[in-house]
Amino acid sequence: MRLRMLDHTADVGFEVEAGSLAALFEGAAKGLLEVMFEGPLEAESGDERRLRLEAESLETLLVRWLDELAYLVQTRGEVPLGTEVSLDHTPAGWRLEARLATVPFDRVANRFAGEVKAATYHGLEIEQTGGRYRARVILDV
Amino acid sequence: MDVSFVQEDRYTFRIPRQGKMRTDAVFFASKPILAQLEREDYASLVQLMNVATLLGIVGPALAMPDLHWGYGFPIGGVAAFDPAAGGVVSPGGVGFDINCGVRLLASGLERRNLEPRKAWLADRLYEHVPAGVGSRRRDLKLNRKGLARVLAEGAGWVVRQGWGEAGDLEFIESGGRLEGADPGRVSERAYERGLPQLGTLGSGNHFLEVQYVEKIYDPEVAAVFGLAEDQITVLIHTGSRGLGHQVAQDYVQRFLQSAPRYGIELVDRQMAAAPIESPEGRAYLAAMAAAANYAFANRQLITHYVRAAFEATGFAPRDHALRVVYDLAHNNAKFETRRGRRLLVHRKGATRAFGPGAPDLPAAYATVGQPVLVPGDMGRYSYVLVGTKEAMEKSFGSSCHGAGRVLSRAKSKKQVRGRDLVRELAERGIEVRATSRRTVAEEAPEAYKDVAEVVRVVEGAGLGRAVARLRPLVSVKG
Repeated sequence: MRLRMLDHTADVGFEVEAGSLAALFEGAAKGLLEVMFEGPLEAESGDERRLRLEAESLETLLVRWLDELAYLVQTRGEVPLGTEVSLDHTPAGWRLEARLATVPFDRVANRFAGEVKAATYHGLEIEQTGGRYRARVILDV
Repeated sequence: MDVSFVQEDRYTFRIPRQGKMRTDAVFFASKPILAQLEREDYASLVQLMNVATLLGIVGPALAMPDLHWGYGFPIGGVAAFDPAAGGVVSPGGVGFDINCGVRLLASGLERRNLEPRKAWLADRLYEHVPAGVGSRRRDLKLNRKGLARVLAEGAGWVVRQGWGEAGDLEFIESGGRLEGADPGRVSERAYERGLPQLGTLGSGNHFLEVQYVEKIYDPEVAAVFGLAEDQITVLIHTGSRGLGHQVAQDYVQRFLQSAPRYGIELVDRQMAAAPIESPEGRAYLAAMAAAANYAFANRQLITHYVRAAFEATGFAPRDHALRVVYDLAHNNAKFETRRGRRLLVHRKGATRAFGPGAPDLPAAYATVGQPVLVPGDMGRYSYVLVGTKEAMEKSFGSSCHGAGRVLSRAKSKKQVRGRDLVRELAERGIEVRATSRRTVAEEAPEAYKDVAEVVRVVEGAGLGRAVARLRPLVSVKG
């Protein structure tokens, strides 16, 4: 998985590349945390949470996934330091199931760098070339 | 898309209709601003041209001089739609932070009264006004039922709890309450996010600033607004917090699904739209108004905390005498009547700037026009302008909302690396209190355009007139 933070005048974002769709989504979660927190967060043993999301397209699923994680951090106070994602094609689109290892926000509050309002659809596209998946995500902060 | 424009006068540029555009696009700029747009490869102008493709647009798609690249509509974008002609509403034309805006308070204090207690006041403000994630006021007990009333009643609800003065409401755009709000159109997730955040500032470019009036440009209008040289003022910049963000997220997704049904072709998914007169459009407008009311209530509650912070610094209410000069939104969509037609005017990173005699102005300002608040960066200055009749003709009564970034957050951080920005600003007489040092680095003064250039273009284009300039003394960031 490769993660590159984007440098955009008004907003922030990242480009993520991975060998599988699941790894792409896991990488995107890392990108989100990199925007929300300063420096790498210690991966201590945390609580486990399971998540299930559905969407009609992969792009919408990616936006939902990131919005869901931002909500977990900012409203529920649960920071997903580890994510394990599996993706399935369904008749209606896509389904994501994830296992999150979370730590309470208070434990990493001193590294918090600011809120993310939402993941945007701006220029969002999931591309596949030669077995590699790539996505570019702009966040509204 | 090719971007070609013609200069109409010194500060006005027109992009003639082409391709899928339904109208022209017009933007206001100067040479330095044009140079910045070019450096962005005209990305924000392409976004403006995308706006002109939307169904039912009336008049040109407009951009104010603080125009910059956004998601969906450009920041600084203004566009009006006719519901009777299939016109649309787009959450991407309002922004995620619904009804984000600024409120200016004027005090009875002068700079010399505050200087000796400045650092103390900075600390008290930082304590009294929480940022919102990981910090909240434990003394505010709000339940779901109370929140539903906030969504329906806006700033008035807060005042009726005893957190403010009845006179505050008169000086808020739309009286601090948008009509048509339906708390039932707001999702449970939005309620959950909004409950702990009422009365919180948020992070990013949101701030709370104590200032002094450095310069008066128009003494007559300044007197009407109650502003005088050396007077202490307070500027609050925040919005509808997680509740508004969630409403926007919910309806962008809903509109993406409904767009094909209404034959709405989306050039950019972030511009997802629905006809104003459709079940989806009406639901969004009702939820958006509810979120807008949350934002008005939020700025009202923060005003209450600001008054308390002044009192905790030893300024009695009769001495600080903090009153609302104006509360002005820069992210919303409102019904306004133009030449007998009821239009939905989207303003995203643009403010209303109604001139003399316009409707919905406080009685005290009716003959001069409304205050237009234009915050700059935390190291320089902010402006108070007044709306004009010309703006009513040229820009649906709209003006700019701020300076606009010139450096990305990463570049800003790089530029201040190794410097102690908080100390530097303190040496320049500005006390900064912030939760995150990274925010301070990202929001460094040099990350923003000089707002004076934006104001110069606004004045040149006739969209507003300078009344006063305010210098920061204390800056509180999330």
